Amino acid sequence: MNDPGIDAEVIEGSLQDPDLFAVIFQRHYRDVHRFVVAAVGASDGPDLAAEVFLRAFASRHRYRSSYPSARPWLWGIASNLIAGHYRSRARQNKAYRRVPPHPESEFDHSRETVNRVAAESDRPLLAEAMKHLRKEEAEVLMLFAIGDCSYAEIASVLGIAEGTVRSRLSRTRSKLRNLFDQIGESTSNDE
Amino acid sequence: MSDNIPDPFEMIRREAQAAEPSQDQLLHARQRLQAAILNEQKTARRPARRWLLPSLATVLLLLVVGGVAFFRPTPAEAALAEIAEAARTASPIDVPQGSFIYTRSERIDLAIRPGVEFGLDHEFVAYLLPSTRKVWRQPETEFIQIHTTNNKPTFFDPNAEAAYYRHGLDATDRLDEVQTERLTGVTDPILDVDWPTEPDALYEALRDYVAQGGDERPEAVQVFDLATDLLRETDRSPQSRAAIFDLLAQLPVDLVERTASAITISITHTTPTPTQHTITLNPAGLLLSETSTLLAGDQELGIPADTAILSVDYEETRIADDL
Repeated sequence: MNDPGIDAEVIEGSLQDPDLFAVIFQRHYRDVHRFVVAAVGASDGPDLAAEVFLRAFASRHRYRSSYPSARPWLWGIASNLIAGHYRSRARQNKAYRRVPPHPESEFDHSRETVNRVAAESDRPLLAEAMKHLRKEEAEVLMLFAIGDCSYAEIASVLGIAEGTVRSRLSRTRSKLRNLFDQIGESTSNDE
Repeated sequence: MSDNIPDPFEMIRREAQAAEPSQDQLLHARQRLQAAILNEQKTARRPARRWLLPSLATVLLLLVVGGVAFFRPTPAEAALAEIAEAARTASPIDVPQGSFIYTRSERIDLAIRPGVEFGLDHEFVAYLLPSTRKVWRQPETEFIQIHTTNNKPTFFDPNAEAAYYRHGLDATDRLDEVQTERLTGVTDPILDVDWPTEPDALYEALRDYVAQGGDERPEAVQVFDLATDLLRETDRSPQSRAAIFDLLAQLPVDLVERTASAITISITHTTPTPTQHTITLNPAGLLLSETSTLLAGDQELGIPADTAILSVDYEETRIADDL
């Protein structure tokens, strides 16, 4: 089979030949699956991962061909679906409910995700530290450590500069290390 | 201690290790995509029908006959066009260095808590929580301060009201207490984007934004919501504001009321939950108020029909020299 080209070319070609979109699925499904399952769990994750590709297929005419790789686009869709999942699962943010406009409200699902991952671990220190992360810290952590995205990909998904991604990750790492120290010390003092 | 602790990111990475998809999961996902592809191909290849040409001719005739009425703007379109023009020629808001864009609003939001917090045998309990919100925004430093004061809530069920106070949820909601949040270096994913100032391009950009999924409401309603977001608590440029009103005129909105000092428009959807959203603007395009009304209520949560689950009144945005 001929090489169908980079993602951007494949997606553009799929506008004429929709079958071509299967190539995008072939290339990215496993990674998307891993990311989404890690974020929401094994019971709802697989369905949500499949949904990512349905949404992507349906909106592929809006794909910006200046992005050679489809990963940031797919991860952005996945991220939104994860957010939707947490909203509907909790049923505390029904579709009709509008929350007050708040700069921190947009990506709360990142905190839900990292908290979930940490809470399911047998590391209480990790679970406690995650509670102290701010949304902007949780969202880069989610995409970097759980979504396995590069700095450039995170920058694309979040629409921020790559340098900002680096500095946020660096700050988040330092903050977590400090939290580990503080929580660890307070636990030893309690004992 | 940190020397003994592995890298936090590696810890999270290890904990998040998810299994590879099973063959069944992969097959199922692929089949769903293939069904979508097939469906699109079927639609695209649907053969022309013999009655297509006569139908087209009929439609054309109707368009010609009804042409004048067809192209006449609706009352909502006409009102929004006037506001767009006023917004376009307005002076931009000048935010002197070190000053803040300040907005005060009175709002009522729907709050939903698990029934267990009330000691009640309901899965969830809903109530309306009024609050006063003050926002100071300094774009140059990406600084935001928000003061929120929650006021006495109203309940749909007297038992829930009694349980609310009995279980100390008034303390949890911190009624009558000014809650202060100060955030720096925050880039708002909606407000801090350079949205296009040409209406069609703006429409396309907002559609792109909402197309990323997660919301089951019709696209036009999501775009309406997003456009409203852009009008709140900001120093948007005259061109940008004008583009928003031109865009709103392209949506299926209705004119609810028009007076000398304000116009109110609405958009309604029936899925997933019948809801009407309204916004009220002054003739210069300042957002004065907004509401979201649950038209059929919510039986499960005991919310009656026609309940406003969001209601906000805004004072005029102004420049504040200090916090």
